[in-house]
Amino acid sequence: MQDQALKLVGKLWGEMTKMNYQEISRFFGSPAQLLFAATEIGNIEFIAILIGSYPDLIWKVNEDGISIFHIAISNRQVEVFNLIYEIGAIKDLLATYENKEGNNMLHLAAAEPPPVSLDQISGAALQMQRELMWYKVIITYVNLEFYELIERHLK
Amino acid sequence: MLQEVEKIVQPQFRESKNKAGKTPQSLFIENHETLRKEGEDWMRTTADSCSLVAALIATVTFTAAFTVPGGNEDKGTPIFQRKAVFVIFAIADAFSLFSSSIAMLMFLSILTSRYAQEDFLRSLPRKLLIGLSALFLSIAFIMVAFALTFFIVFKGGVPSISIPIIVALLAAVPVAGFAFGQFPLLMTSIA
Repeated sequence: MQDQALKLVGKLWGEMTKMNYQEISRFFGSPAQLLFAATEIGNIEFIAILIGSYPDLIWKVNEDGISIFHIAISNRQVEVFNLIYEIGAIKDLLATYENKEGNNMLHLAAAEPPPVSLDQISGAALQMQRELMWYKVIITYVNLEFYELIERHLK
Repeated sequence: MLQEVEKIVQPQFRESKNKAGKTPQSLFIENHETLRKEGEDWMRTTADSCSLVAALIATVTFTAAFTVPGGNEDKGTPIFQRKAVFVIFAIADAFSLFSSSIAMLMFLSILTSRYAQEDFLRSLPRKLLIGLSALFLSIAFIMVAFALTFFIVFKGGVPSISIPIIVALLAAVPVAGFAFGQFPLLMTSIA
């Protein structure tokens, strides 16, 4: 059932990518709700299909001014985060995005986690451990992106 | 070169303030205070009950070393000391005492730790992991020792063969039960 749904998404998306950039942008709406909702709940198959064939989508920002990367971080969607990371597009600029309250990626990782994200982990202590790990992961990522950016400029 | 750059760049990102004037670090501490408190309580209750169990096991295994199955001769040496099964019993009993002591120490060190946020990343989960594994081992060994006493003291005749075997099989049940009950917790503390 889910396979079929994904195939349908793939087919529809295949047709849509034939449209030009403006039309696609209009379809997604100025906040690209479709993509952001999928990121929030961690629907990686869906995101993989969309971004795989149209990588420009990772540059979309929501009404708060943040990318799907940021949304994955604040919703603790590890798999989505890894997926976008693996795509390997130029992400270093994304790391500098801030939302309207001036929160960068690290601020988002430091924010209170959505309750569902900790449901599968038993024990508050281990939930705390997960939160710390996530924060460290984002610190590493953010630093890495900066180094790469700087290295490129130094060359 | 990179280290030089690190000095300049890293603080900018990690210490950048949002519009409320908060750095990520201070935001993290603030937002996770409730979770930290819950984690502390959870750790305390877990360590409390587990150390109690470990202490009970240590008591029992310690006593078992002196009141061995079959009793002692006049000079104090165990009657069955030349039996292979008895030797295995003694080893299992000793192992059980050792690992329950390890578990006890681990849980005590959890109880006396300071529960800073950083501790939840590595040190506390590691102590919990070692403590739970040691506790599991000590329960497994105490069951082995218990089942072996039946092999030592029963001899001859049909029921004498079947009784120790039945006991041994039944002894495996609580061990398996503990394994299934605590395994998920163990796995999450490893991951």
